[in-house]
Amino acid sequence: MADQPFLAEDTPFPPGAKDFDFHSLIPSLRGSEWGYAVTKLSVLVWLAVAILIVFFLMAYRNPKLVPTRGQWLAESIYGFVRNGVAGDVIGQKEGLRFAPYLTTLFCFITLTNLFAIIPFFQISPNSHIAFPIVLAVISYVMFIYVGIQKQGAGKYFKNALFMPGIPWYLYFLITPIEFISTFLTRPVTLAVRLFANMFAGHLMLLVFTLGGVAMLNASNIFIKGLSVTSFLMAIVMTFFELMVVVLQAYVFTMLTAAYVQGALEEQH
Amino acid sequence: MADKQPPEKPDPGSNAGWSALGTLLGGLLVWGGIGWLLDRWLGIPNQLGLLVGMMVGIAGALYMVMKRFG
Repeated sequence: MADQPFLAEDTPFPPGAKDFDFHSLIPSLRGSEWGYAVTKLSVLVWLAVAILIVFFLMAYRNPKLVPTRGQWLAESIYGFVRNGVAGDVIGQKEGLRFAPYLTTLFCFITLTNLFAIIPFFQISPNSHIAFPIVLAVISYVMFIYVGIQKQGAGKYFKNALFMPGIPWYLYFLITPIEFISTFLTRPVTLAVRLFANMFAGHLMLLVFTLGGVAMLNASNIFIKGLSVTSFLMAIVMTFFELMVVVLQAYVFTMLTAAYVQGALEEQH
Repeated sequence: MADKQPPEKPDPGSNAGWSALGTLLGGLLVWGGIGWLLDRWLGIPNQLGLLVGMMVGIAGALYMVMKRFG
């Protein structure tokens, strides 16, 4: 048994972080500093941007009282984010002006995440940390900016760092924690949560599909047969990914709204 | 407007949960980090500074969470 290899030599198993490296699509740029400008991932991001612009322009170009299907979908998504996230979390009075941004954020993350399970794309740009970092930085700058705009810099940082209603000597203990949790762990967790979910999801799909291929190539007939289980798991995990895709987009949008709400609030 | 409302209302408790998690993490990081630095600086044996720092940090973070959400 031991001298008989179960797996074919050339099957790339197990998958690893190297499976997330993409070459430049323009061969002459490979290895140069512009090499990463045009990869599968950046093309997918541009594609997502184009799809969203075209979709919303088409849906609202000729609005009808009885909406068409595209208009209905666009209005449902916008209505959901406007009422469910902007209105409920930030508040009806101040929240609605953030609804367009939050809707854009939600749609963009959902679409780019969805590329992870769309056949032939099969990778989400968000499984590279650079893309979630940019989204998190936008949210981070936005909630600080909004807070300073609303309350003034001094008052905003005072409210953010000094919790009211506790004895003065506890500020030595509390204020560093407030500082780190508001201005450091917030953006970091925002980016890492999205990245890690998409990274792990892609890796999991790779494990089950490549594992299935590797088992199919095995010389042992029982292991060949068991590859069916692996492929079935890959299908199940794809549907599980669909849930993760929407959930992570929702969580990201929700937390951005919650941070903006916290910055707008006078007191905690 | 859409004829169907979203199936469930967004749960405001989840925001409180993420926020509390951030605070607890922050507490561990800050005071654990300060303790660790004291360890290195003063050469405290057995990582006692890290241990005490993390305990102080988690106590402070718990106090904050209780104060804010309790």
